[in-house]
Amino acid sequence: MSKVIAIAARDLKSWLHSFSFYLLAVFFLGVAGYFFWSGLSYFSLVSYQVATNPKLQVVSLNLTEGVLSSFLASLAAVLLLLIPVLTMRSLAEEKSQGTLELLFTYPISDVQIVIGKFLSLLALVFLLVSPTIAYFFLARAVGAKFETVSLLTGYGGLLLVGASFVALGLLMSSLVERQAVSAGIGFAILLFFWIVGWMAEWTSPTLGIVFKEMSLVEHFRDLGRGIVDTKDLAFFILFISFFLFATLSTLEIRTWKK
Amino acid sequence: MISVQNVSKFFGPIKALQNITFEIKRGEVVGFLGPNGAGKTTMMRLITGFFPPSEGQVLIDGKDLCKSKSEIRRKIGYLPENNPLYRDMTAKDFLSYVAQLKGISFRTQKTAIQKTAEQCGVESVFNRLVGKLSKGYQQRLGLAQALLGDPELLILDEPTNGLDPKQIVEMRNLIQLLRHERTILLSTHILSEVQMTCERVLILNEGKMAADLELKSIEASLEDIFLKVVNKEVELCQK
Repeated sequence: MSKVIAIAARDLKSWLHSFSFYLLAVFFLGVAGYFFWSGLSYFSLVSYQVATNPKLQVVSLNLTEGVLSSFLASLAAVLLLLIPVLTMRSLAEEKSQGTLELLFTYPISDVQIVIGKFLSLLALVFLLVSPTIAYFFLARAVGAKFETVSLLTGYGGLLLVGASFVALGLLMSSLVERQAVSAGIGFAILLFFWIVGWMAEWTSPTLGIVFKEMSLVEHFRDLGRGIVDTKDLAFFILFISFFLFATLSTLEIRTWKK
Repeated sequence: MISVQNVSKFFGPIKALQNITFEIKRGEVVGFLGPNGAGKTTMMRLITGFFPPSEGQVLIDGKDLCKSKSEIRRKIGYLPENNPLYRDMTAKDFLSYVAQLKGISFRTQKTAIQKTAEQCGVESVFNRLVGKLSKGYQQRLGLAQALLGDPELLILDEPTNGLDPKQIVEMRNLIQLLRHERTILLSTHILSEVQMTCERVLILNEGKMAADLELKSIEASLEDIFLKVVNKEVELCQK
């Protein structure tokens, strides 16, 4: 485990020493701040209209449905854009610099390398996302009280989505040596998994179910609303495991005998 | 210490190594020669366990590299051909990272790093970024990472590659100092380096073992022998 932590810590330190991480963080937090502000303002406007118009009072309004879930869905969409940029360096850079050869000849296993890389990227996603929790404390100061359980579940779901993006990005980084290409292909595939559920309406019912079940958005929807369903958790765990296993397999191609 | 038995390595249709057999005893310093593309780096990667042979076996201290990877890798220090380093780390952080990956216990890490840094003469650049170091210091740092953990077997793939004449002499002297304690396999294109450093020379040509010679027993110059071997005028496979 200490070797896994050493690999994760090295990569994390390398990112934290680079200017590009802070540039990404400023972009992410800026966009997130805008989404939160606009979501909360819209909710406040709608609440006011509902409160002043008796005909509309049948509509039930709550902050989790009205603000939290759409805010987290927007954050997930921004992460979809940013995470391939974070993951593109991971294994591709080690490959192009030749340092992967060093790692392969040290007394560590390929599994330790993959998990170490995965954890470092997950930590980066956590560092990007966690400051946005402060927005909810600010909102509390002006009277918008969010349910703590929904907030924690929603953020847990967002981290699972982030981890899924990281696992897929890591595979791309192990397959493609050119970082920009790795990020581009990673983004395209993530986008497919994001929007595949939309195609369900235009296809046969059977295929529609398959598309919906493949969609990251569909499985994130309930988590974003603070609802934990084991089916969604199982989907994310399977998604992450599959892409980490695929990454491991690409590293192990070199150990094939012919 | 190293026993290579009927080893072949194929990359798809390309036969990089064909039926190579040799043994290296503990404490021997062996030079590995051959023209570019002869298969030297492939052979070295096989010995380090980077990848397995397509056919045959590589045994280190009687153990198959493919079966007891982790245990054997602890005995090996490897300096790859292009000396890959993490350029965004300081020399100290880099060595500390390597020490952790090599499983050197936390208590002995500091002493091990200090000792290796002194041996390789990199303690003066400890706090500098690796990417900002001169080629000579980078090469020393590459050797230091290979030496960390006190490996019994050192595999050096063109350690003087890209160095100026002064740095070549310094690196050669460093290797001379290390030879008393370890088994060394040294790949190079500089024949004089082999003559000064090694006791034995293996020459690979087109993926085949073309010569295996004790340097003491050679009467002609190594250059003559090398040229004759790679031009296939003679075959000198017996020691």
